[in-house]
Amino acid sequence: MLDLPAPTQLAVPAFILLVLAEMVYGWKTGRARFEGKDTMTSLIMGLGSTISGALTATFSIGLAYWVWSNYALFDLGAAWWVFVLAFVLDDLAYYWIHRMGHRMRWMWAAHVIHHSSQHYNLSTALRQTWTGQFTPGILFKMPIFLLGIEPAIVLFCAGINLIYQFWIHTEAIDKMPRWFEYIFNTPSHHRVHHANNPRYLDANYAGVFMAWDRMFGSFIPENTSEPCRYGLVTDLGTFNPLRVATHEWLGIIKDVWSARRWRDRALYLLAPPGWTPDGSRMTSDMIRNAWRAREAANASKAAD
Amino acid sequence: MDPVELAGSLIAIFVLAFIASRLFPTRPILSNKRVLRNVARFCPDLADNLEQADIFIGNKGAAAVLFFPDENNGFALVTAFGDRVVVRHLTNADDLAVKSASNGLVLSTHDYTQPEIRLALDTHQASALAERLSSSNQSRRTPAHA
Repeated sequence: MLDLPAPTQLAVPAFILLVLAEMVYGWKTGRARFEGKDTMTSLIMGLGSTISGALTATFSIGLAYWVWSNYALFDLGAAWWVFVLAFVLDDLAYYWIHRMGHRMRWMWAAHVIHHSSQHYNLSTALRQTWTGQFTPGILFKMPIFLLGIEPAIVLFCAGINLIYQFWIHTEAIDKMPRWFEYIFNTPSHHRVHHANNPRYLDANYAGVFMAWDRMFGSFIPENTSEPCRYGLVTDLGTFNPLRVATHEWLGIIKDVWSARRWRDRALYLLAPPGWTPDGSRMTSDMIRNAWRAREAANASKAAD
Repeated sequence: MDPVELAGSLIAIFVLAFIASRLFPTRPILSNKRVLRNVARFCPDLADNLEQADIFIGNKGAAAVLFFPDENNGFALVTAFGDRVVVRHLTNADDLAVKSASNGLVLSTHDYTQPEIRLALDTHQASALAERLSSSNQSRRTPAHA
């Protein structure tokens, strides 16, 4: 088994310094905003995520290695180009894990934590889930292991991918050069992703390369006439990390328990967040459709 | 993670949060304008004629109740959440417990992330709001403890 460093662990001191730098910059210029309790919750979620990940890593790494050592089609080794290939393929897998993290309530239950702050700053980047291990995200990476890339290489590339995504969690940077905005994920693209404006819901799932969003039809550019508002469609009313970490799981349990049909129980897990058998709550698609209808009605009124 | 790393991480977290609270102080103050703006955003389909809504804002400006002009639309619970706002829309059928406290009202719902909202009100205001909630909702009211 290859022994590679853990990039995210090595980056922690830099994360802390950059959060502090953004705070000072925001205080001086007004281009970044923090709130004490929100920052505390974000950072505690990050710490908890590290601990929970360490406690359960054995299972997912074990599974990855079992698949790779028993079923890999090729032995690609550890040359530099394998790392490049792994990075690109892992980013593609990340896109789909992330997209399903928004489109399947089971996976949303873990991912919602990251979106639960109404602020958007570098501390938000560290607001990570404690329960990702209870979702099937690792399955999206299986094709990479089956291709013949060793899991340690994929894990290393995934760490680099997460480090890249740290700096895009800021309002302090407006837009990067056009060519950069076209190829890579940027603060502008990721602000759209974190926004709860109906126009921006469920968009820009990329980790590093925006190609995937353009390819799979999930790209929405930031519109300066509609500033992003951050948080959830129904924002949390607590800073308590335990409640933040578990609220959606509890919601799923209540709904599955009270469902009358097995089909509904399954859809409470597999359908998008907000799905109900009677349509009494709203999914992102329903929210966006309602917004479009209102915009059309307003435009029609204005034209009359 | 070893104990030293864990302790160091916790210290760094508390220091950063403390600095954030000092550099960006917040006083949660709701105004009619802020309540209306946030309710309109949260309930866009009920935003028509919202300026005619009745609004009760707690004395500390930390929480408010907005009754929609059309009684059939229920009411909104609005709370200052740090420097942001959280809105909950309750219909007339939603569960709400209203408890009188020495300095106002405590509104309890089944919301896991916001089970209780406290409104600092004088006796007269608290009584008026409790009556209004009772008449517009199946809320249960309990008196303050002696």
